[in-house]
Amino acid sequence: MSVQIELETEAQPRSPWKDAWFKLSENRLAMIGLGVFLIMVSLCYASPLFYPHSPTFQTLSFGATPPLTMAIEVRYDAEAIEPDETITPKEFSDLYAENPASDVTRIRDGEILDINGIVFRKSPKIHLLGTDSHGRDLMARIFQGGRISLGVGFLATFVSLLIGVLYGSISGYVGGKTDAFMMRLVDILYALPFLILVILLMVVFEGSDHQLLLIFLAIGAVEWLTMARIVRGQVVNLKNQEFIEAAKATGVRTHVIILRHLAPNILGPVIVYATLLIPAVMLLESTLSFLGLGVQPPNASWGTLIKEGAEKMMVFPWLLIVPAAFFSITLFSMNFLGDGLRDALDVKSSKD
Amino acid sequence: MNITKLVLSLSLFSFTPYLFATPADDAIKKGILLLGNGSEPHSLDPHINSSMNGHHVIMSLIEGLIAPHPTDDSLPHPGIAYKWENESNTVWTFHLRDANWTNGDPVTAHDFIYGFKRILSPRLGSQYAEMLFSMVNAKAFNEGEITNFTKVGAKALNDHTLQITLKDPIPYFYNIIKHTSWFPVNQRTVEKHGEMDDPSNNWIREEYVGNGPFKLKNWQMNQIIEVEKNPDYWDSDSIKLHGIKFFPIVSENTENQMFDAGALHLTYQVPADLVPVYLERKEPTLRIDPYLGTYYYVLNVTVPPLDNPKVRKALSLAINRKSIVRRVTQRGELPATSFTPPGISGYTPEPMETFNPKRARELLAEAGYPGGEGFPKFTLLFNTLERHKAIAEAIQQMWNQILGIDIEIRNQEWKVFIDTVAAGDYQIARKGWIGDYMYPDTFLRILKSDSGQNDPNYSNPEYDSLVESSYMEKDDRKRLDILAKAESIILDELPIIPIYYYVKDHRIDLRVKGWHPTPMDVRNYKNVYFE
Amino acid sequence: MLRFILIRLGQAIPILLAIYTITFFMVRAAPGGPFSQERKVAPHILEQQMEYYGFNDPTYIQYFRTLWQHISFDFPPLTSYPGLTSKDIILDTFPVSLELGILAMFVAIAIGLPVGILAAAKKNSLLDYAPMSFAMIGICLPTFVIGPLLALLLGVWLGWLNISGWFSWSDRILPALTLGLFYAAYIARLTRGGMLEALNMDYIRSARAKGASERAVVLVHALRGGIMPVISFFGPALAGLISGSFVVETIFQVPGLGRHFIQAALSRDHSLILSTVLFYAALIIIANMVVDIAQVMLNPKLRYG
Repeated sequence: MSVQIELETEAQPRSPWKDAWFKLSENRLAMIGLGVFLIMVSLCYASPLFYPHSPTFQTLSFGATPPLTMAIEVRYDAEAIEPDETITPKEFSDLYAENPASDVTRIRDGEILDINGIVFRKSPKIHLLGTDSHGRDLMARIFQGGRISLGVGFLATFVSLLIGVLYGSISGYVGGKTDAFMMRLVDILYALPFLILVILLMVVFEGSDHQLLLIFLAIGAVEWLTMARIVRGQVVNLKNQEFIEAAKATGVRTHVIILRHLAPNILGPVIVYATLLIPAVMLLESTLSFLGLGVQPPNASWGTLIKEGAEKMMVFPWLLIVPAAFFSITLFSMNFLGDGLRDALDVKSSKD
Repeated sequence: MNITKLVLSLSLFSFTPYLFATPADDAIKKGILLLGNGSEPHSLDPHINSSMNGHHVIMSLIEGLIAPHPTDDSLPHPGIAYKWENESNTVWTFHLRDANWTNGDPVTAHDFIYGFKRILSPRLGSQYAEMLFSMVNAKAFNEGEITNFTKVGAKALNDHTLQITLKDPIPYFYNIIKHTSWFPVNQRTVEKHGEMDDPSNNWIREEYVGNGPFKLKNWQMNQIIEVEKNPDYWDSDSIKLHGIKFFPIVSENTENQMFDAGALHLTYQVPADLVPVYLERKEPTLRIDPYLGTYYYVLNVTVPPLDNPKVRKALSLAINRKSIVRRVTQRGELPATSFTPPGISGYTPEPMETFNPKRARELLAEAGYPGGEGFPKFTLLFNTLERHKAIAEAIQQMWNQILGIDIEIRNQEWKVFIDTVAAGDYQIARKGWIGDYMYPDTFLRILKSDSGQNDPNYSNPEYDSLVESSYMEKDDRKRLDILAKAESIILDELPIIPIYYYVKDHRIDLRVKGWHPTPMDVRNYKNVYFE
Repeated sequence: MLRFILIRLGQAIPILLAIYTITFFMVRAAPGGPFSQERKVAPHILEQQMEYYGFNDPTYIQYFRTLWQHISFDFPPLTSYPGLTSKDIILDTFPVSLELGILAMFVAIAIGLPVGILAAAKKNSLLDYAPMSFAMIGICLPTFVIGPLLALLLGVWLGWLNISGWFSWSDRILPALTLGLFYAAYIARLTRGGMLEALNMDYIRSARAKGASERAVVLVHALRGGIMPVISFFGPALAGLISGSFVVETIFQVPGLGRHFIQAALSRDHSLILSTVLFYAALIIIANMVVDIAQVMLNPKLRYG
């Protein structure tokens, strides 16, 4: 078998990575996934450069408005530069308007109304996706939350991936007493009370400036366990397959076996589990923030936005739908990308 | 806006035309009240319970000397005592009626003495023992300084006459003893299941013997507490309900959905976001009742610059309370103008100045921080809850925009928060206080310098002596005036910044009658009935 | 196999001891005590409570006393529910969580497994994309979103089911569905991934070459290997399922054990934390053991290790 691979490599002088990339670029879905994902990431990270709204600036009188609601500026003094208040058309018709229906239309058409000395005009500010309960621009909050969630999601997943794969494959490959010991250690870590651990971490690192790092730590410390179990299960299963035994029998060295034969075969489940882990980690982050370890208000993350939205979904459904949509679209694109990556890196299917 | 309305009408489409009767309909036929009760009470022992949910259940099972008045919490209503008199508000004599425990024993004055002795027993470690400290020597007994209970100011003159002697005159003493901490327990039952002063004595689960209008029928943790009419209650003819089911529903959304589906007559709370929607469409089932509680920020007055009253006042004047109540909390709360909430008859403290941005800036400048310049960075601490976060975020921006100061807001898990505040390791923290009885003293005493609840570490001898002197005052009118004067000191020096007064909002089936709004949120269930 | 089980159970003792020890000291180190209350308790009352619950004794005495209490099943009174012990709570609530967990697991397997297998067999077709997208949505929408939505639909709008409570059999449907759907999504994705891996294996090629039907290849040969990742995932997931879910139990007012894990930690009830953690640990050990046995059974070449 190893002979065959070498022959192939000689026949095609491209490196395996280039080869994988070529195959990935052939996969349309994966490329769409990659494209959407890159757009999402660049939107989140570059939004401060082009997006006009601040994620933390509140206009309490303009809270929880649906997408594209017109904002009306109220000036008690016509000359004032800054409006005294920014209100919704509904509040305007309830509190100030003389002929609610026509007045709102006039303002919408750009007219400046003067009712009993108070000046009303349409605000140039447009909230594309509406505002949250404090009147903060939802889109800006989603971009800002995305920076945190993507960061946390990827770093924590990467950490747990690294630990989990290493730990699981060593345990599975070496086997015997080492395997038993390592896996029982995993059992111990599983059982420890997570909540208490988080509370402890919070105190240990009280007032530290590295809150986000702590989140990776806490999440990484927990989430690698299942990964390790999956990898170990996979390795144990493969170890006894004919082709591995054949490789061993022909004297192929251990690290070659691991890299050439084992690694490609565990990659599939690992990528699948990683794509499952990322959303889990992002949502777990909101639980940690809830306990005081993590994102501190007024900042947000996708997890906290979804959690807030879920509480308000009966009244202000877009507060849930919008962040959940961003979250889902990102995960979908990562998923397709992950599936494509799995196919591209699969050495064996290349022989089909 | 039309989209919003559409969405709202869809998402709130609550009244499905049920072809069959809902559980609430069935229950009404059977005379059973279905109540949301927040969460699982940790105990139903009147001397151990410290939660409001437990309190609600105990009030149906055991009756004290004075019962809750059906409509007005400031007034007494006969309970086991059918009449009472007092000597200069200090020696109170209660005459007990013929009543029985659910195990057949008669309710006597000795049962009350036994109850007092039990809650004051040091070993029981009751958190509410201090409710009885107005009694002569009660504190000394609780602290173990004296062991002879006969020295405590409670005496059974005979089976039907109970005499309580107070340290200082208390004109509203009948309001204090409405609390479950003053309730009797059945000695025979308690001692059958363990020692009297053992906190783990489990008589409440093994065999709940009470003397109230209802008796315990079924108690499943985190599921249901069911009580049924007590036929042996002294006034059983006037009990209109056949039973009450208390559901410990933690999630307010679930509870509201249950109400919409016709599975509850009354909810414990209403999801905050729905209150404005219900108000808007004039939902008849929404009820917003006043509640004897204040939401406030505690300022650690030992930490500069919060040790400067001008800074504290500037912070207070820069909070737009109306905006917070209207736009953030949205439950129909009232913006606070004092520490003691309104509703206590005869007590009207001078309202403090509330929102005045200009004055706030001036005061901050006078304190040496014009435009917030040089103001040290500090942290506003709150325990994790969506509402606290929303308020803190709003105030953070108000202080930033009006005063130009930049603060950090931080949340902590509840127990961590409590310990942080108790250790004084904070600058500003969120707090709430719920009155134990209808009198301003239940609020004002916590800011006395010797009070265990004095979170801001506030100490003002003038304030202390005013509150102390009110205790000696026999005339009720003058007494309230002294307390109002004490309160005005607080509102001027602001060791705490009151933000709003709590309300109690619930949804109530319109067929439930006799559920009167009471600021203590305690009810005499025998007065509740169905139409 | 018996020997394997005995060895594993023997290993359980040091594991449980380690978990006990770590948890014991973690709980003690965590800030906030069982008696921290918003309304501060007078110092002498606090002292009484500390004494009564044995917190005044030297730590090593507390350590061994609590250890002995857990070994002898003679539990101390709880601080958060006076009059009860952790044994009362676990005996009372575990059957509920077990029932809910089994039902949810049934939902999860009944949906997740066929969907995953089908998706892998018909890779890159509509039968792959449609259910997998559905599964993805299930993963993106956490239970605290799905639960209230299901309750709104089935409970309020249609009026078919009770929204909360645990009284009649129909009360099992909503929580089991909510919990099960979440795990179904995981299982579907993991099955698909594992199956794809397995379908590429040499032994599948040889099975195909020997002329086995596609159906047999997928369902018999590939499934054996393909289900491995699911099974590895299942150990801890099973323990998690039957020990209860805080979110689902809270939304649907299910009197299960899951809430006590969280409540015990939040109220710093040392005894209840330790007991629930040890109970959960025992479940994990058993579940992982069962899973390891299942793995050996599916792959006869493996030996019990």
